[in-house]
Amino acid sequence: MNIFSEQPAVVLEHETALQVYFDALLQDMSGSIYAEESQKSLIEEKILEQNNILGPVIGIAEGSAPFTVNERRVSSKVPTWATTPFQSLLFSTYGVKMVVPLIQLHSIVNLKAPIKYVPSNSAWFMGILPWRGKHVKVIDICKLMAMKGAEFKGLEESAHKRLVLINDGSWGFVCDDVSKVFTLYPGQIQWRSDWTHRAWLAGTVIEHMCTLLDMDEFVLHISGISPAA
Amino acid sequence: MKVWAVANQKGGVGKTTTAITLAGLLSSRGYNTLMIDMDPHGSLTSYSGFDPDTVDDGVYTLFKGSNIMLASVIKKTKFDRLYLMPASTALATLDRQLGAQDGKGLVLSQTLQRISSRFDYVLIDCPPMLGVLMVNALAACDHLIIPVQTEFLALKGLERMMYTLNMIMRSRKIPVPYTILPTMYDKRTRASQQSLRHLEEHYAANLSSTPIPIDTQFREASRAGVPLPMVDRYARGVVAYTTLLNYLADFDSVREQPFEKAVSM
Repeated sequence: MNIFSEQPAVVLEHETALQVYFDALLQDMSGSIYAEESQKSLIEEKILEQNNILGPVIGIAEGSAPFTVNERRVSSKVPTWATTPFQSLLFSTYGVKMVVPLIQLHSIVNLKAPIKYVPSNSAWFMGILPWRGKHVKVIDICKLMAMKGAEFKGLEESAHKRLVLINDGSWGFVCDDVSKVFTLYPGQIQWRSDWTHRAWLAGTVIEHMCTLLDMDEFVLHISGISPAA
Repeated sequence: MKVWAVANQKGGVGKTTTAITLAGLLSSRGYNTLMIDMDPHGSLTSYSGFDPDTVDDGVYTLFKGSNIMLASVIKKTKFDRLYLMPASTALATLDRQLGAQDGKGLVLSQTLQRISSRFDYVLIDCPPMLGVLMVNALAACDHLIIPVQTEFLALKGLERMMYTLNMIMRSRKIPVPYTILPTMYDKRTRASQQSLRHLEEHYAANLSSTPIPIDTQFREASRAGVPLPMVDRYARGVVAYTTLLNYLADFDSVREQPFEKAVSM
């Protein structure tokens, strides 16, 4: 897969361009040093298929116990990672702009291989994508955010060009494109006051008038509501 | 097997001299040492007595496919325990041919895994530009040596190199220890003194303790196609590189042989 084989509509920001370039070059392929891990994953997948329970295998990164709410928040509003200025990634999905802190991201990869559809799951769970010996569970954030019962006729899935990997790379969400990396200051964000519902919607980036996502909370959320959890 | 890469995005800072001098010292100490020339200019290849325009197999071959006879890409030099994987002029076309193909940054590290039992040390001479060859070297190495000429423009080049290194480390996931090596140091000039002071102030934690002095014997040795340690092991430049090797020993357990044994060799 050559990420620069097609003329990009928009030239990426300097740092993002380099990171995408390095991520692609250093992406492991079959038969390489990750072959053993890949083989193990394939075996696991076969077992799941045989037992007719193919679905997302839910889990937090190995060796990292889930944070408690108090550890994730220094106050009732501000997440721990946002107490000082932090690097953020602006991306868009279905044309809707959103922001995530870079520190919570794993990788950004081009989405050219087909996502393996997994039946009997929610609309926001798009399926599984093999990547570096892992089976990434792919999420559609927009559909997850949509109100219960909402229809998705206006959402064009073919626009998805990239997959943003989070957590230990076992989860990812699709996006149309990533546009820039920039520094956010805690004062530039209107933090949500209600953490009891959808805590992963951390607040609003005032300058861009878009949602800031908290990926730690996001993974906990989707782990909890996924049918396979 | 330990893999050391010598890299800087600025040219003419002493990368090839550093690679071949360290390789010469290591082979003199009895280590099987492989030099890998990743620079399309092929300076290290020429230095070692091969012609980058006519050499048959080498680094370029690694990128052509998986069925590679490693015996054909690794050449024995005229020095004991010193081997070379040569560069060829075609390396310059790799970025154009490969672009950013997935996984092409790991070709070298996968190759080195296959030969890890055959060599004690690998020295990689990197090209002076960012591309698939440099990414391969940085992905494969255990330790990065960054030669920096002690002059103002080279310091700017170092900032660029550090930026690149940090970006690659994010993708590589495993941090690489690195050592900044001041080169071509001329204590008589204010520019050299100021540059060294700048490095000491800004990169103290990763700075080699001894700068490599200007030594015209390096030029003479390259003309003869012989690593300087094999010409004059007490040349000023060689003594400085020996200090560097001992410094790197903290990371990689290279042990200097007893002085008496070294003298008798």
